[in-house]
Amino acid sequence: MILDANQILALAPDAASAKAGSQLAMPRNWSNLGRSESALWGECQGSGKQPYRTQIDLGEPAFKCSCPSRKFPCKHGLGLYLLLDAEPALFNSGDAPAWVNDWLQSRQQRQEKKAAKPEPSPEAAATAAAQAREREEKREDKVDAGVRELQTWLHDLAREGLASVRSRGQGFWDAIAARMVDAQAAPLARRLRRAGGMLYQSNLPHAEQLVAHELASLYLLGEAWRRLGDLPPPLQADVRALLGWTVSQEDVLRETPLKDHWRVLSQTVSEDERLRVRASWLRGATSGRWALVLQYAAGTQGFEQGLVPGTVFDGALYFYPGAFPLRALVGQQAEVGPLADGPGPASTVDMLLDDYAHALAAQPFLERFPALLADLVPDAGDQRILRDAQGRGIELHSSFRHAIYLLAVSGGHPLTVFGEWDGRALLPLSVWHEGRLLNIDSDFIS
Amino acid sequence: MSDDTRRLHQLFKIGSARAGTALAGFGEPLDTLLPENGSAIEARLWLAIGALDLWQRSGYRAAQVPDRADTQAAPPDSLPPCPSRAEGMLALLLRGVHAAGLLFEWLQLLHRHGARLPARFLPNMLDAATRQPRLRPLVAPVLDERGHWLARLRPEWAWAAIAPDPTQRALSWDTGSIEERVATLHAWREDDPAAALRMLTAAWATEPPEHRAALLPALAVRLGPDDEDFIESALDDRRKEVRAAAQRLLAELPGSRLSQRMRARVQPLLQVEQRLLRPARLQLALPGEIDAPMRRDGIGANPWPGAGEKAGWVIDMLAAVDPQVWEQAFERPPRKLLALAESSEFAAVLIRGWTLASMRHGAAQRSPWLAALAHWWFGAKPALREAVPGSLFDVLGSVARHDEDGTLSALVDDFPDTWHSDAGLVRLLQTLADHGAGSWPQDLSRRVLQRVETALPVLATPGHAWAFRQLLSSLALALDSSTAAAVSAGWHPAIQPDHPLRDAFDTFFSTVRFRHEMHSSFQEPA
Repeated sequence: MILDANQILALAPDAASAKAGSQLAMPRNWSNLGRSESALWGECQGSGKQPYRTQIDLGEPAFKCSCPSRKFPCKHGLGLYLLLDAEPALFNSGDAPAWVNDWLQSRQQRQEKKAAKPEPSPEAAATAAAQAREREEKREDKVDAGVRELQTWLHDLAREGLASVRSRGQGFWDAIAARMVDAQAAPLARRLRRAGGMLYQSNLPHAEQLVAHELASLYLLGEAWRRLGDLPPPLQADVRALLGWTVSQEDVLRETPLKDHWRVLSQTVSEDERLRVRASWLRGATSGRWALVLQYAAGTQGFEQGLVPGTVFDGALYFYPGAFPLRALVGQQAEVGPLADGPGPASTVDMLLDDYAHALAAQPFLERFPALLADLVPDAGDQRILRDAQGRGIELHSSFRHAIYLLAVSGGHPLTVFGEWDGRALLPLSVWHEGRLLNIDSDFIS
Repeated sequence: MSDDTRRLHQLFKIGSARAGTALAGFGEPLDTLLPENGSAIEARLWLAIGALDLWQRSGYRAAQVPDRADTQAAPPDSLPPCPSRAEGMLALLLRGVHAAGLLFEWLQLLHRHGARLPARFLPNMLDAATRQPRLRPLVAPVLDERGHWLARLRPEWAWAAIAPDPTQRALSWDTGSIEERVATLHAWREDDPAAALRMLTAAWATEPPEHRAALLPALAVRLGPDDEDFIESALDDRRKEVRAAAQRLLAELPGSRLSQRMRARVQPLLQVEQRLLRPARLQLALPGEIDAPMRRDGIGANPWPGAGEKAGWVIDMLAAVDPQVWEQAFERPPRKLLALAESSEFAAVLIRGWTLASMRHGAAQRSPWLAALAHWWFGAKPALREAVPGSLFDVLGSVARHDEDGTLSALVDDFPDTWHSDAGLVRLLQTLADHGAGSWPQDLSRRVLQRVETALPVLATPGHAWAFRQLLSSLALALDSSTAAAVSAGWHPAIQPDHPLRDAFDTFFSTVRFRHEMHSSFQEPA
């Protein structure tokens, strides 16, 4: 699929690259432009003697450029793609030059290699497994000590009371978070720092309750860890993931894939310390299964795999193990096209509440739950509420900043909204409007 | 929140140490779920808060929200939707990828196309036009029903809500703040100047002086002969600012009594002296005294740096008289009169007075004076150029922005070949371009592009780079985009990577091309 200018700019790692890319999208900067079914290439005259060779694999899309920039995609890649959008006639279709073919072939080889990894010899495998077990035991001991320390800290906090630790400031929370980093339980550290932050955030309603809920959830997680052996294996996987164990992509790719026609219903990019996290929600048209694809990029690097909200593709998804599996990896993508036939079957509020209760019963630590709801009307009076067809109010999440945009596209008429439900409030992520999906993070500009 | 939950959260807040042992149990069913078999109260407190939270989230029931009578849905829009490619262009503009000035042109194109704004960008456009009031006349007609409906939801967008009914307007006139009342008077003048004048006249006597000073200038909107009697009476106001506003209004009103009094005072002072075999001379005799009626009309109210006191009175008089009067009185076209003035002893006084008068009267009547002054200005000595305020070119640029009668084309043709080394001329062209954003026709654009083209070799050498940088960014927004794209394509070989203005030209090319795309995006079927 060929992206349009706004979708191309959404791939830019930062605003400066977007701007520089737009300025480079001028015929005069380019020579030897060409395209094939799957690729796009051109040479861009920069400040150096040799022109930069820029190429794009249109499938994902993937970019490569001979310029020294460490941004990804670089401005030349964006400029080349934007030029295709503006003046497709400039690109002669024909045989790719050798430097393009070499790259496309090496990409293909790498993918094939990924698919068929040679099995190690039995002896080497046994040694590796023994080493891994030993490392694993050490880590379990560390996490175990960390969880006990956290529970003791929480007991002390309950004894002193939240009111009396308030004055100690963020440092109090950062200290216990640092202890959790030492215990190799990074997610606990992150959640503790965030809980402390909520307490000192000035405009957050019911902050103390939210902190209490978050800490209680951490306490329950600690209890679950201490009784890990008693839990069903899928839930064990969830608890371990929540404590910081990662499942390698190779292991996930060994699970049985789920083939379907996947709709990309939303995408958000957030900063997590030095990483950028891109979260995309997908739903299978046949299976009705939800999937959350998390991708990470460091600094100004771009995301490796192209997933564009408002599109649909045929592909196989591999789910991470868990009691209510949502997180998944995309195996391969084919037949990418615009999402024209709607976001799929939507729920009523009652159906959502039932589904959520069942999901919590299976996996009580669920942090994000997908909700596709039809017939919601943003309330023009109380702008923090959506009303359903029966006149019941659904509260918008306190972090939602686009209530006025929902009102603009609805005009007081019913909307189909996709978002995340946390048991109390809805965080809208996209909305279906006039025959297309509007992804709130990228299609509204604020 | 239930009582149980409240009790638990309260306990967590104050701490179990202070709460004492009174709180042994949490109530059912938590006590059954979490028996007190020797575990500390703190551990049970955490389990209880966690369990209750899960219980509440899994058993959530959405509450009924009372229907509000005033939240009616928006009626269907009447205009067709914006073409989708044009909508994509607007998204790029709002992301700030291109010059902010392009938003005006995009809105003009949408309006000309007869389509409405995309709903998803209504909040952005309402905010933008709230910050920049000059966008409002362009935004208002493309809001359609949805936009008017949305504008009612935020007080700061009230300007875009559907036209207020007369009772609403009377209410805001009677009870609003002074800023609201000035805005109401402006809007009322636009709709019905006579009714607005009646309203102001009725309230006038009871208005405090600072309100009178704030309200009176609103009569400039659709000013007409019917306003004269009232404004004339304001010349005797106790407040200086009110008198000054009245003087300005009457000087702008064609054929006003003030203007006739001024003419009667200044005409006897001016004479063309024609002697045999010698060039004609324009003689100015300075006035002798100033009296109360002169002061009442605003003579002597303005400081004119560089002119003596009496010369300043003459500037005040000339500025209030339509300059066409002098064409008839001396039977000469503006060009000849300016030549006469230039050789006069009081050249700066005459030029300044006529310039001010042309700016007041020329804008409305397209008189040839604005163009004649601009032509004269190129060739004038630097000292005399200073007698012409720069705002003359603002007025000319905005009056002639479509160049219907070829005023600007003739002006550009008249540029000397060395125009690029005259910083004043480069700035003048830039001022004209600033006011011509999105509206210069092909013919004018071609002439200006030719002018720039002849300057290209000179620009490669360091010198006037800075002024030209500004000029290029203004021209990129004013020139007809398809003409500019075609002509400037031939410039590429001249703009080498080491060219001192390389980046300014790159921005110029990309802006021109973006505008060209913007125009074509509206030609596609919606």
